[in-house]
Amino acid sequence: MLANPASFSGRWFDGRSAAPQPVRVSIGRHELVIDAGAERPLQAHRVAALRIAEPLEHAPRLIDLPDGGMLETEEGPALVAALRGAGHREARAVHWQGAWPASLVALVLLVAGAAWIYLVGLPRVADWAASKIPVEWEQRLGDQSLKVLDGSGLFLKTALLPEERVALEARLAAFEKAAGLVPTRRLEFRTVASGDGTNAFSLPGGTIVLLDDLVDFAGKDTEMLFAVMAHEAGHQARRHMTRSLLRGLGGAALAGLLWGDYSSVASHTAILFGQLSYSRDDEREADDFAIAALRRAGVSPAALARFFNKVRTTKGGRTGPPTWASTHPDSGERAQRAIAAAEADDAAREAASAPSR
Amino acid sequence: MDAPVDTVPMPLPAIGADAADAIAAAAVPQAKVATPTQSVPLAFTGTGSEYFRIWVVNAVLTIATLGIYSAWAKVRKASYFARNTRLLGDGFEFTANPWAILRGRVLALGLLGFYTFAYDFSLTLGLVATAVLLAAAPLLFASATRFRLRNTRWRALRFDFTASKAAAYRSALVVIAVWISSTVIGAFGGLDSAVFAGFAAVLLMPWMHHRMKAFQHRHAWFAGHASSFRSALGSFYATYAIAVVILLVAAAVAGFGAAGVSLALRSLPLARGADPKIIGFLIGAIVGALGYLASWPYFASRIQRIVWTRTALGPFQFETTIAFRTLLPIALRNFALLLVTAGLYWPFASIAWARYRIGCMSVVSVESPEAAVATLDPGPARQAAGEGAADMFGIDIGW
Repeated sequence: MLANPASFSGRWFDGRSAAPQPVRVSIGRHELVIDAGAERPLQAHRVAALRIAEPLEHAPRLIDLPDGGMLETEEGPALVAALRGAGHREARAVHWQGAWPASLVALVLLVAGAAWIYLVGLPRVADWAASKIPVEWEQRLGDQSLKVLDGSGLFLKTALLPEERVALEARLAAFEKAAGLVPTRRLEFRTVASGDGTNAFSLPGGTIVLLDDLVDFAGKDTEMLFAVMAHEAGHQARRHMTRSLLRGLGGAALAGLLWGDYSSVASHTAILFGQLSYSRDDEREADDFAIAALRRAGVSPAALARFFNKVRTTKGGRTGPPTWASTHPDSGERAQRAIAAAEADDAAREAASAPSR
Repeated sequence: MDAPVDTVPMPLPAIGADAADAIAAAAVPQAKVATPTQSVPLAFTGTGSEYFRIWVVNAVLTIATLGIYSAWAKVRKASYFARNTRLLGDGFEFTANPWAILRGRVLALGLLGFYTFAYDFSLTLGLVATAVLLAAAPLLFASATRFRLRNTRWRALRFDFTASKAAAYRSALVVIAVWISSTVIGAFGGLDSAVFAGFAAVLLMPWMHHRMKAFQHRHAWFAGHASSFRSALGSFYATYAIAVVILLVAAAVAGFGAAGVSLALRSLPLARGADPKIIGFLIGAIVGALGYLASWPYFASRIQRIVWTRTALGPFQFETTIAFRTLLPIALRNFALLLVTAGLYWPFASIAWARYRIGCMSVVSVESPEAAVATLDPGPARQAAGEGAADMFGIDIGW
């Protein structure tokens, strides 16, 4: 006599009524047979042709029947074994999520993978993509951004006289040549509508905007203007604006994949903080670029420190965010780095002049 | 456009749904005896420890496949929540085809990329992208809702969503008109008109939200029964207003608190390294986040109550005991644990949130839900393009 097929109690729904029918389900070598009592004919289905839902800990197994009906049976090891015996294979993911050890391995992989992508993968891909983007595209992006900024009312026309501007442009061009920098494609002058505008900023594709307050504050200290210019040239040379745009897109995708399923707030917060850290790295990189450029032009990096000290005294009185929540590193820290570079130069000069004495 | 269902006079926003419900309940005690209503609660049986494992495997595979697996992950996740949502002991079933979701996501990514970069090339291309997006949005939204409902079953009976293209456009036309006009005014007018347009758009937001919910809740079907929705515009406005007040009060408290603590700390001889600015900022950020956290559960609980107590699905109506005071501690606890675990508490938070929001719902009917009998027309599942796209553009289709 053949071994009895595994038998389970279940409930059958015909797909036309919400009324459940208590049934016996037998699962054999390849077949699943539903016995709904003496009045109804036996239903036999090939297990391979059924859509069997994945096992869950606290919900019954659902099996979709080809005629639109549905079968429901209690979950358990016996059912799993019977379905396996009938040739049903669960997806590999089901085995991983069913067992804690596999899930913990997945957890370690997740944390390591997400960290690697964020710290190494994304910057690399963004840098590669930024290097492939045509310069004309970046220039168009920069020109459009400037148009948007001009239309926003946040920036107004410069108060500098045309002859002042021409003189300034000539001095900055001379500095760029001395420092071995690529000439700035588009130098613009603006003034801020309100607040303190002792600053300059870069737009993609070689546009640098100098604000009147910076020019006024620098006054006769042209070297400070050179330092700020060299810093912005660093942003341009490293294509920071385009890179941060691309990293932002990548970061948004990553955070969306991890936390975007139920709320966008969590993923947006993650993107914001991620952007800030990339942005601080870019500022430090531009500072280093500026220090190197100033040295080439024979200007002391202390000029950069003078600018940061000014920023610090202007903003120091107010409550600012701590470093990790800011787009820029701490001004004091940046000034110290520039001063350290200047002091190193002085020491080297003294050391070089010592033997000749 | 939609058949008016406002046969019941709308309660004043100040009275609110609870008071209106109480009045209605008090007014019909005899009617209750004549037509006994059955109330069947929904239950949620999912657990954090099980969902954590599903989530972590989903996340790893999604990252390892550069996002392609996200379509399969979505089906596993939706299926987990559906099957653990129980009515009369039986779970819901979600059986979407992941390939359809993947196609939808690729299309959505293409649309989003086109829209994001079009303006960088030329104004004309940007306007074309905006036009394409606006023309597609109502269809995508309707199609997302339809995809979700068509792929959901309970006891082998299928849900459906039957809004026609024309109905989708009619419903969205005014919303789009408002959105376009505020964008155009913002783009071509000065700063003042942009502020005005933004202000107008904010004022119209509750109305748009209400219109969207009404559209969804008036075109759903289950087993041959159509859904209906009684307008509740006043309640939507009241909810938005109170949520904003909660947010503003919390922000003000956060501002004063942070300033006060910052000042107090400055006058003390502090140990080296502890910057009072940083401490003040941290305190401000935490209190601000708490304010947002207080406002959001209020909003979520009120909207759920307003929407579901005014929705009927054939002979079925819905009741909910959802309350701000119960949802708030859940939200606060979720937030604190998410912070402490750097986001890894996420699946547990999702479960806690779902357990309460689903568990507080009941289905009410005159006849037993068991008696719901219907003939079915389970047509082919439509493309998931709408579903994926609605996901991408952040239109959250609430439970």
